[in-house]
Formats: sequence, C-alpha cells, structure tokens
Amino acid sequence: MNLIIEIQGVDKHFGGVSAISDLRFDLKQGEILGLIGPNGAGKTTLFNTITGFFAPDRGTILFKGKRIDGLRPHQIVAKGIARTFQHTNLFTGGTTVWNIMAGFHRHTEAGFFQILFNTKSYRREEDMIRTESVEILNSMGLGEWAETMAENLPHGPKRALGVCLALATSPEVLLLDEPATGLTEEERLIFMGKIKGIRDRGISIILVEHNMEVVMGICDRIVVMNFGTKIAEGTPREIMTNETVVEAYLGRE
Amino acid sequence: MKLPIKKAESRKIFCLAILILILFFIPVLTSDPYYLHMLIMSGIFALNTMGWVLILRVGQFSLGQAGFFAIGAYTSALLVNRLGFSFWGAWPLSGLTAAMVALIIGSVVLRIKGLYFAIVSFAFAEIIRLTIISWPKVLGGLDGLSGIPKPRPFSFMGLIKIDFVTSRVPFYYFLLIIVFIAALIFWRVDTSRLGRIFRCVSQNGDLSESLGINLMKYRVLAFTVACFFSGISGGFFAHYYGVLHPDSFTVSESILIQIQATIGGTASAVAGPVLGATVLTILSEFLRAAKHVEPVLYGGILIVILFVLPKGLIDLGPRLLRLIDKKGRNTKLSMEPRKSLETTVSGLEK
Repeated sequence: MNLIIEIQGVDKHFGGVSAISDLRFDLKQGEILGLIGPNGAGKTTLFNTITGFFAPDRGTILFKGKRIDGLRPHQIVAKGIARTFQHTNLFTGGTTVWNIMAGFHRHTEAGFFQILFNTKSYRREEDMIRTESVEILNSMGLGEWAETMAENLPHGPKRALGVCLALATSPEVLLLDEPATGLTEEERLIFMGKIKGIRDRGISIILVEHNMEVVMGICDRIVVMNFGTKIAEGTPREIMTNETVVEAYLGRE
Repeated sequence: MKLPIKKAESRKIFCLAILILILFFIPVLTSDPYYLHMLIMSGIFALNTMGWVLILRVGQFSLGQAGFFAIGAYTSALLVNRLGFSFWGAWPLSGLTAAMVALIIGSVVLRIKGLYFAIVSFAFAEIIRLTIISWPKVLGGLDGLSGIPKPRPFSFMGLIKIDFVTSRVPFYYFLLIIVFIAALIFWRVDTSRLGRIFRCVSQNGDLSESLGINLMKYRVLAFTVACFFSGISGGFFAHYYGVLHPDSFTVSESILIQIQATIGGTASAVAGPVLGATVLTILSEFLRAAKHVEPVLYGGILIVILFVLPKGLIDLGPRLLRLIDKKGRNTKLSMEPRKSLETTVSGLEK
C-alpha cells in the first residue's frame, strides 16, 4: 500500500518547550488514521507542522514521496493536503455557500484581466464554483443552510462547515482536528458516516479525536501520542488493550 | 424574490446615470473656475480614496498614499521637463512608476500588519517627501518644482480644439473620464472573486492560507493597483497645478485621504470614497471663509458625522429609510412580519 504521508523523525520546539520530538509514523493511502493522546501531546502542533504553519526543527515530512516540510501553507494546500481547525474557523459576514466558494480558489484559472473584464471563462468558472460548493454542502448534509450567514449556524453545522471548507480544496489528504467536538450523539453518528464516505471517495484521513466511540468506530489504525512522541501504534483493538496507552490516556474501566 | 431586487438595482443605475449626466453638464452650466477647481480636486482625491479602500479590503491601513501621489507627480513632471516627454507619454508612466514602487516595497512591507504597517507606510511617504526636500537640483526641494507645462492643445477629430492652457474645462472632462474608468475598475474588482478573496485575506489569514490563498500575492495586488491610481492622480495634479512643492505631500494628505474614505463609507468601493472625497473637499473650501474657526468647524462636523452615521455618508439614505420604516410600524398595527434589513452592503455577500 502506498504511503501518502511520512513523518520522519520530526522535532518541533518552542523556546525551551519540546512540543514534538522524534515523531515517526506514516499515513497509508485510503486509510483513516486516528491520532489520539492527552491534551498537549502535540497533535495540533503536528497538524500545523504538516500544513506548513510551522517548519520542523528536525526531520522531514514526505507527501507522496516528496518533501513538503518548509513549504508555506498555501503551497501545501496546492499539493493536496487540507486541514480543519480545533476551534470553529469560518469567515463571518458571509453565507455558508460564500464561505465554501472562498475555498475553491485553488482550482481557478482566471487571471486579473479576465476577472476585470468579466470574461465568459471567468463567469463559467464562477458558476462551476457555486454549483460545486452547493454539492459539497449537500454531501455533508448542510444543503438547507446554504444561504444562512455562516456565523448564525448552529454548532453542529458549523463544525461540518469546517470540513466542507477543507473539501473545497479537493484534497487528497484531510487532517481533521477534533471535528466532532460538541456534537450530539445523533450528529456524531451521522458525522462518522460522512467521514467514511469521504474516505470512500479516495481521500486519506488523519483524525484527531478525543471521543473513543468515534475513533474506534471509524479508524483503520491508530497512533497514540504523549509528550510529543509516539507511544503506540496499531489497530483499534491493539490500542485498546495496550498497557502504556491505557495508563497514559484511556484509563482503566 | 427577484422583483424587489431588480427594482433597487435599476433605481441605482438610474440615479447613477442622472449623476453622470449632471457631472457632464456642469461646465456648461458654469464656467467659474472656482467650482471646476473644487470638483477637480475632489476627483483627484477620489482616485486616492478609492485606492485607500482597496488597500483596506486586504486588511491594511495605509498612511502612505501621499508618497505614491508624490511619486506620480514628480515622475510626470520630470519626464516632461527634463526628458522632453509629452504629457500623454509621461502621464501613464506616473501611474506605472508608482505601481512598480508599490510592488517592490509592498512585497516586503505588506507582511506586517495593523498599526505597524500604518507606521511603515507613513515612514515611506515621509522618506519620499524628505528625498524631495534634500534633492533640490532635480526635485526642486523646498523651492518647489515649477514650470510644469499644461498638456499641449490638440484638435479632436479636426473639429474641436482642446486647449488645456486657457481653460480648466478640458482638465475637468479628462479627469471625469479617468475617475469614471477608475471607478469601474475599483467596483469590478470589489464585487468579483478578487473582492471575495481580499475580504477573506483581511478577515482570517490562517483560514485563508489553509484554503490555499497566498496572502501576500493578494495584498500586493491590491496595494499595487491602489498605488497605480494614486500615481495617476499625482501625474494629473502636476500638470494641472503647474507647480509641485513637498508641502503638498505630507502625512496630513495621507490622513486626509483616509478621513475622506471613512467619512464617505468604506463598505462601498466607489460610492463611499468618492462621496467622502467630494463632500469633504467642497466642505473645506466653503469653510475657508470662517478663517480661524475653520479647523474647529471642520473637525466638529467630522465628529458629528461619525456619531450620527458611523458607517459613513453613504449610509444616510438607508438610515433614513430605516427610520421612516420604524416610524410607520409604530403608528399602525402592522401584521407584516418584521423584515430584517440585512446589511449585505457591509457584509461579504455579493
């Protein structure tokens, strides 16, 4: 199986504090990889490093075999990696559909003068963007919220909007940072189905989650982090019964 | 519902057409150079205020527009005076030179945000001004650069003779055309995909980057376009005035541009800035008669406007309509559902 992302000995520290040290794991193409661990384990820092918001202090990150560490965020998105944020991140002052359209920017060809003169090709692109934005919203069950102002969405749809935004960039890899926080039981179940659907469309996923139902329910494999490094890796069953993991994170029944 | 929207749109276009018609016929109604001068100065400022708002759209607050105005002015003046260019050859270069400088400086400086960018932009404009002062041989220094010729008279289609020397009217029409074209460009950019991206860049840089938007590319684009028009207005100014002095390119001018744009209303790309430039230019001219009290009156009026219409002068119409709406609802038992007047003007929706 192809390794679509390879984390090779990555270190990241801030001042004297080491957020990630010698982290090594891979994401296989087409899998949903769970990334779990206590708060402060370095999961979000890892996402920030993969997506170019930070550069690793040591080690490399490969995407489809090529190095991406050190690239700027927009370049990494262009390569095909998208992420969501732990906190709800959206553009206020615009509708839901408007937000998604902003995410489509990556696939447009029209240059300054085409936009200026409102050429046919530009208008065709805009129509395509709008149609596909609505499609993405529908696929995540947000169709009814298309024309609502994004900041007025209820919490569940807001979290889903974050995923839609990432999907708008047509990624091959999706990094989800606690997307199910604050969802009701019912919303979570639907959400899990949606994530599986995204994977079935060929997108590889790294999922950071604290909710074990979600993690054990949809992840093919799990990587456990603590204090900035990997402490275990394996199938959900293996992880559930791993002594170190239970000690550090899962707790005893 | 399509119908109400169409009504508002066609009403707007109708008003715009009337306005343009009036502007077109003003020189016919009055050849008093004083009024033409006020409108010409308004137009020059309008080119700058529209640019200032464009820079604001990418989330940057510029206090340096006077610097690019100066670059345009002195470029055109020198090309004509020293290198024998004609006005028509030199004037476009005034915009291009300002744009190039903006491109180079902006690629570095636009990485800084907020207050710090404001300070740096102000410092840049000051550098320009101080360069002018300390290079009297070429740039005239504190004595000013004089003898800038008006554009040479020419015949349009062999029938109409256009003489910039004896009358301000050609300047007025020329500027009117320029401002109109500029307004179309600024409006088009703001309402297009670019405007959408600019607003995203301004509002949430991290999210924009994680959607693949190259922040610097769009900041530099907005900045360059805005400074092109500042330069163009400067080139025009040089040949209209005939004389350039560094006192015309101080931070006060930069601040004035910002004030005009804000008073006019920054939610709009054209109407607000143009209105602000025109109203404040005319106001300050009329208040001149008040002599020493003028600054107090001027400042006082600005404060009142900002209190009553925080969104700017363009909000006057909608505000009155809302007041009338409210009054109507209070006096009759209305079974109509409350329509929320969505401030989509100030929002991001097209």
